[in-house]
Amino acid sequence: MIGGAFGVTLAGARAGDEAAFARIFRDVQPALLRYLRVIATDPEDVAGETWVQVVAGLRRFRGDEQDFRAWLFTIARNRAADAGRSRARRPAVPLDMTEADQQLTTPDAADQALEALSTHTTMELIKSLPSDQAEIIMLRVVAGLDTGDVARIVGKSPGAVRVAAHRGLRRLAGQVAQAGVTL
Amino acid sequence: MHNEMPGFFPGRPGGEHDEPLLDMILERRPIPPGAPPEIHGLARMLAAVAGSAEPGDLAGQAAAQAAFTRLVSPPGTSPAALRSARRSLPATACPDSTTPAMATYAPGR
Repeated sequence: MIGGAFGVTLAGARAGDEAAFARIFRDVQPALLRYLRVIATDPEDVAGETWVQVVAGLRRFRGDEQDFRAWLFTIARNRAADAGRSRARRPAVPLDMTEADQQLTTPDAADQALEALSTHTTMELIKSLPSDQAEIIMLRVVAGLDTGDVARIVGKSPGAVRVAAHRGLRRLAGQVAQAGVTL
Repeated sequence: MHNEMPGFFPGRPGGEHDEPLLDMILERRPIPPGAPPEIHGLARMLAAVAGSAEPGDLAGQAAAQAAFTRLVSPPGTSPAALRSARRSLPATACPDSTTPAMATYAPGR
């Protein structure tokens, strides 16, 4: 998150300052791509389409950093849906185990396994969740959106978002516990 | 089919008792030391996913920047346009500066 400088940065981008836009892009793009990797099968393409739409609407946008992120992730979700390659195509069963995952199943190697637990592996674990839980966790934890924003984006009530997030986290924690990962 | 997993507190079946801890994870707040190890592990895993960019996470910046230049930047203000404008200026137009555009707007001149 850019924080206190976001307003100035956004104003600069609106005025055509390429450095200001680059700062916003670099701040949001990692979370955007990781989110799209969960809900879309062509995340880079969808991210590109998202940014084109964001750029086109930049001068009309009004709001703070949280509003900007909510707006951008709403666009991303819509573009992913338009692309027709969203969550339904993801396998509903747990993914193939990577080498790092296999290490997790050996309790006496738990510490080493946690070291080896890459962002990629964690992403795969999240993707193995039911699609609504996975998406909500990504929007809450990775995109940094609050429950209200996520509820608006996914079209659920705030209560339903909270329940889905909790269920997803419990499943993930259960996988962590089964793998014998302790800190 | 099995039901939702039980909560993390021993002797307390049902998930509702772990909700404060789960909310801490969602809000990226520090997890109390006494929380179950799997909660700490999960928090660390998710913090890593939400963390700083990795190689490849900035893919598409050139394309996005190009779209920005095309759609938002006023004509003639992109670095490429400024370089082009600089090259096209006669040497006498800016004898003491490598930034002719700035010289035009320098205060006090």
